[in-house]
Amino acid sequence: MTLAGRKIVAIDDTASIRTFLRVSLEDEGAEFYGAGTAKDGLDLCKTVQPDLVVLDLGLPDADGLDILPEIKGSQPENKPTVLILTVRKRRETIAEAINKGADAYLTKPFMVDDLLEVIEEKLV
Amino acid sequence: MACINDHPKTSMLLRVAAKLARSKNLDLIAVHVGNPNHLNIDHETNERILRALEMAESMGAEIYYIENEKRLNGLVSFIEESFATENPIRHVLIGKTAKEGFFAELKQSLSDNLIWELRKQPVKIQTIPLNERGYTTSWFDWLYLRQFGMEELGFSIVAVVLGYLLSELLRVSTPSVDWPVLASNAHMIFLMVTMFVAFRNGLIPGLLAALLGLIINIFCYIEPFFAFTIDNATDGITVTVFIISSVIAALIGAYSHATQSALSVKESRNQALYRVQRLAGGAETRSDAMRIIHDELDRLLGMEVAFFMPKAMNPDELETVEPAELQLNENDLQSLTTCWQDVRTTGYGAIKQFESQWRFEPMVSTKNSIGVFGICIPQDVQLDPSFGRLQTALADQAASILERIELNKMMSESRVREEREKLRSMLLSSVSHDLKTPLASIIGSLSVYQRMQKSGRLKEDIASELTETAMEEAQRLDSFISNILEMTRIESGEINFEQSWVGAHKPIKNVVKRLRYRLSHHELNVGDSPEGVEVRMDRQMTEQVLQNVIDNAAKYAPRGTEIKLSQKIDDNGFSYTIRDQGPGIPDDKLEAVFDKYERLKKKDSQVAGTGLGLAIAKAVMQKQNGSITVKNNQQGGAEFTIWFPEVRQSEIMKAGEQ
Repeated sequence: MTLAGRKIVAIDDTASIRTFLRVSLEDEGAEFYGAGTAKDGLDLCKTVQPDLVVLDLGLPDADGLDILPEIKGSQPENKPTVLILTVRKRRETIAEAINKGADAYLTKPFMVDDLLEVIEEKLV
Repeated sequence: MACINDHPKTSMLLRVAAKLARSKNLDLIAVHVGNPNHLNIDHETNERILRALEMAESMGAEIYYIENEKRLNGLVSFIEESFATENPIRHVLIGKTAKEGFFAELKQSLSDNLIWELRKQPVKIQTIPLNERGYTTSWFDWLYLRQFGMEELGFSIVAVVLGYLLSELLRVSTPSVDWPVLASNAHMIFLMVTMFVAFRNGLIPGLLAALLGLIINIFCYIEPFFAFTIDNATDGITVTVFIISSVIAALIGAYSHATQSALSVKESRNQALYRVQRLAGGAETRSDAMRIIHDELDRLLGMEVAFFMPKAMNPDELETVEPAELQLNENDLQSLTTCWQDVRTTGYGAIKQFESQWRFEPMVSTKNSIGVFGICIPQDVQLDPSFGRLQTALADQAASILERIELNKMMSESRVREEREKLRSMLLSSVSHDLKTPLASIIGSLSVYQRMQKSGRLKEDIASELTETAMEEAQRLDSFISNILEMTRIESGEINFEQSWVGAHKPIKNVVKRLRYRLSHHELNVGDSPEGVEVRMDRQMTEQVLQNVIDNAAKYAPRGTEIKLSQKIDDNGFSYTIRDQGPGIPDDKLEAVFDKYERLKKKDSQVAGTGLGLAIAKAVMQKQNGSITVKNNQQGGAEFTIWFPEVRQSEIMKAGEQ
């Protein structure tokens, strides 16, 4: 699998998670952009126009679920694939995320192979 | 059906009715027949009826107020009408008061009439005696029962002698007045003396004064003088009239006396009720309330009082609550048990009598029996009729106070439970978040490492970046878990604080070592330690405090900034100050950062980590008699101050100075 030329934005407030995401996704050939807050993440989405957004739900300045529609709406003609990465695993939360347009939902902790598998399925 | 009137014991009738209805699974109704023509019914009576109806309602009874000029007709037609409905009345409870006076005996009572009227109907009528036997109910008995001793009798003699001297003075000072006039003046004086004595001391001393007055009258003021002879009809009539007048004077005097003392007794009893309400009304626990009422009544009544409540394990049996050391004999206990099981007054003056000095009254709240209130009546004390009512009122009052306390307790317990439940679930989700976030980083980083190693693309620098990240997060996880355990141990008092004199710089060394990984992105600047200073502290716990505070700074301050740890000694003691270059703390949160649950209030945590660190720091500093405070530094960043009250120059330093 190669993600060559694909642009990926990861919005997660935990620096170490961004770190290993960057290492593995860059290794697959993707262009990686990381943001620690909802605001930075939205800005990045607008400037970078990513193919994929990896989104954490518990962000310091907003809830991931609340900015999800905005992320989807940032590129109306080429909507990015959104992958939720969170510790929350309540059924209601998952349903809400899917309703708001999330393409996949992964609960932390996870193995990077699982993540790449989902990305492959959704993106390639 | 319970028939309600204004009798103070009507509440007892209601309780019996409620109990009966419960045991037979019948509906309870309470009926009062009022006379529409009796507009002049006094306020207090009205009030009593209303209260009784209210009580009936709170016991779950349906209440009816019937207007009929004749109470009997009202009741009979109400009961008869019910037979045609789906819910015929099966059982009627009606109060029966003891008959007072001779004429009342001849009159049929309401209950007797009701039984007669409904004798052919399928309804059972049960009368509940409302009066308490053993009490004297007429005022005439009252006059007799006034207690008197030698002092009162002596007073009568002295008064009569003074009356005699007054008559003699009158005679000597007015020689011109004719004899018969003088004699009738003397009669008047003795009558006045009799009335005065009776008013002051009661009937018997009054009658004694009357007798002495009569003797002196015959002896001194009726011819022939100085002899007990009456030799003509006129004198005979005079003496007879005098005797009758004396007795009447004594009776009137004694009656006023009795009324007067009854009033003052009533006054003091109202006072007792009021004081009990006022003092025990604010009590927060049942035992407090009972102790207050017990002490107050002991003092006010001069009699021993006691409270009994059902055992928690076995509600059929009672235990003494107040006073705890009370000893009861077999008869007392039998009386007490009867009172509790039958829900009725037992003992002195009540219907159920035992060979016991105790008088027991059930304490019944609107819903159920709470316990028993007992008064030990000393043998030489004569009780008046209102005493029973006083005890009932006191028992009712105690019951309502105890019920209110119980209700409050239940409410606050359920509130606390709810609150605790909420906190618990919040804590759980927060803890699981705080545990899972570092684990996600560790598992993620290591899985990337593994994957890249397999594919052979793992370069040196990437490998060390990944292992470093994993290590850092593992450390964070470790400190979080230790913090949870630590907090639990501090809160449960499991940790023993061992304070000793420790060099101020000593705890810092270990902390720096332990925080090596956490501080890899910050520069920790440790200022100079004041030389030879020793602080009284628990070294290990203080290290924990410093570690938590510095860790907190590393969490919030941006990477690459400096965290400064300085030490200061002054008149007040010794302090460590930790200052970071982070965003600082909003002013309204300066106190809350030490709150154990502060993090829980946020929707999610922005920075993975301990959450409990500052709360632990605060708990530890409190245990060491020190403190931890925080403010925002004027140049930016948060500034924590950890303060210890006891500081000294070390012995070695002192030796060096000499």
